[in-house]
Amino acid sequence: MVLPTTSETEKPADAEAGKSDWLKELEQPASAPQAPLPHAPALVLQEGESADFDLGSVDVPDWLTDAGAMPSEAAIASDARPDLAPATLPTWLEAMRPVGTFRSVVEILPEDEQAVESAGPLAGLRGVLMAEPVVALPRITGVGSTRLSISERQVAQADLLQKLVQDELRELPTVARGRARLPLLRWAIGGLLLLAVALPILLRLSVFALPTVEPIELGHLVDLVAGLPADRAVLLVFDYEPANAGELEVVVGPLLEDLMSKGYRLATVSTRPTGPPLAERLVRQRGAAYDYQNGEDYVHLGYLSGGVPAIQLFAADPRAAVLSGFAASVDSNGGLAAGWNSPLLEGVQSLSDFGTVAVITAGTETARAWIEQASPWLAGRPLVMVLSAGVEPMIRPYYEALIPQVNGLLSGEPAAVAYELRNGKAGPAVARWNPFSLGILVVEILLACGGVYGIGAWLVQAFRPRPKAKRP
Amino acid sequence: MSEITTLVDALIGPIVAALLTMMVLSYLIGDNPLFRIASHLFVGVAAGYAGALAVRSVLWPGLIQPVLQAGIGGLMNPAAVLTLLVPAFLAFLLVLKVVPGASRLGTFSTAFLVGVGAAVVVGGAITGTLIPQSLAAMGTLNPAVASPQTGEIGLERVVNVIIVLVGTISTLAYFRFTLRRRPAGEARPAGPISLLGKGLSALGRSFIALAFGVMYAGAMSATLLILTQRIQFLWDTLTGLLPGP
Repeated sequence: MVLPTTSETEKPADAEAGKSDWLKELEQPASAPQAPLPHAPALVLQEGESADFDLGSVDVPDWLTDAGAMPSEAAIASDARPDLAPATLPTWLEAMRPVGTFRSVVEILPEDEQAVESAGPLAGLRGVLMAEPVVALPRITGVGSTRLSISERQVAQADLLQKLVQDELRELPTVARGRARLPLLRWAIGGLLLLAVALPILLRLSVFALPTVEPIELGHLVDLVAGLPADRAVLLVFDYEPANAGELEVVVGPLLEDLMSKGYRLATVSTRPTGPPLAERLVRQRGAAYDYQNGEDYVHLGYLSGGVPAIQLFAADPRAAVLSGFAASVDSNGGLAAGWNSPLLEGVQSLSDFGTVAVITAGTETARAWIEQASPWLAGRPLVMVLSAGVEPMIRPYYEALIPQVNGLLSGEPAAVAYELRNGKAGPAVARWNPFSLGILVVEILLACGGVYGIGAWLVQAFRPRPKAKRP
Repeated sequence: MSEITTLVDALIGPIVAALLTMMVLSYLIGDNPLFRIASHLFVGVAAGYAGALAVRSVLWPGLIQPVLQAGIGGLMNPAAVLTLLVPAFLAFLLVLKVVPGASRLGTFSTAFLVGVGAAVVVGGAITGTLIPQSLAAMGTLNPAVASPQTGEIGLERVVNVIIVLVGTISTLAYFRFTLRRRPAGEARPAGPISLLGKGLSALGRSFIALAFGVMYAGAMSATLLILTQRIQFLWDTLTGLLPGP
């Protein structure tokens, strides 16, 4: 192999002439001819050269020269080394050793048979290393080729985990469904209740006498209604759902008729979307007997949206909280008299401008919200609650306090019947007294029977002789 | 037009209402398609009506109509920006809650609603319920004072006030779920204070059970009255459809 040498550097004359004096002083004097720069032999063979290297023909370090005289591995193996222990790998390292290593399946062909590279920067060269075995051809990956060394305990735990997973995946055999038991008890109770309620209606039975004792709070409410200022409208809040209409329309009916008989003007509002139509229906039904007309005697302010904050806003500034009315009527001038446009509400700027506020609701939270948010803005005007029977116990403390926050309370069928009797006009409450009373009687009997059965079952369980524990 | 309204009010409406009532009452037999149809119908009608009402009674008079009346020039007014544009922007952000990619933008509106609502509710509960009812539970034991609503006076009122006081304290004691334990985990021997606490707790539990019983009785009464009204309605509808004598 011929090693190319670097030729002596030629300095152009014009470049030497162009140097300044200070630069010439800095230059080292060329006392001796320059030695050739260190270089590395190119690994490109000339024609006729062999690829066998002769270490003697090139300058190599001493340690590399001695390498040729080193004994072979077989010689080393055969040579006894009693002072050195054989190398051993730790078990964890042994476990990580790959079992199968990648071996190229590509044979290296003779140069004449090797393909000529056709593309890329190595185009035209023969014997180029192919990239396919590395990037394209399938091979055994290193992943998964490890063999773990695990203990017996780990094997047992793995088996347990596998068993657990298999149990989760296993489909349980379908249990044959037994015959569904008929809900006979439910049918019996339902049938009894239906019969108890329907029989007095169908047969026009009059078994139960009308109540003669009226609730204490009813007298206060009647006095309160009688003392309302005639020049102020009464605000009715219809805050119940249609599902509760069957109860609350019966209960509030006598109060409405009492107000209408005294000629009070009415305004309604609701925080529920279904409240305005319920208000329109009930006021229209009850007002027919008193010739109450929409827009003249009553007006619907409509839907008050926004929940509890809206109640506070309405209490502070009613005109800002409710913008449009509901069920507008045509006034005498041909315009629409709805909401605040109605002459009924002239001069109403705050909640205290109403004669009273009566909240009709079947929800504890709704009643409490009106008490908490509206009470500070009433300025002494009374707040009346018309409640479902299930809600009344939760609101009564506001009524019975030394400083009451609720000034009138009306709840339940008995109070409604008593109110109608006071009004001297029997209505739906009186008409439903008999079926209601018979239904209540049946419920009480059923509850008593259930209680007796429960106590009996408990006694039987308590006094049943317990089986003695077997001695081993 | 009035004839159609009369026909609906007098004939079609009651018949449809009676059929729906029967479909709901059929749940007594068990869950069945008729009951489910009626339930879905009620939910759908209520939701649709609420949506239409919100547009007609809230959005139109409160937002859309004022914006149209104010025009672009009027919207530049600071008052209009505060009362129209800001609420409209917050409402728009709230609508984005239904858009999967932009739902986070609606968080600000939700936070505003929740914050204002919580502040109003808590403030009202403190000034409207907590303080007044605490004072009411500590009513004077002076026999000369008369209850303004019930008219109770003398011993009757004093006994009533004591019952209310004991009921309040014992009910509060029932919700004291604490028990000191020794480091080893063994409970301390019951002392007099512990026994008093247990007694109060048991008394409070009795008051709570009594309150639940009263509420259950009230709910039962209300439900029975509703059932009575429905049966009466069915009977009236049926007799109304039958030819008179």
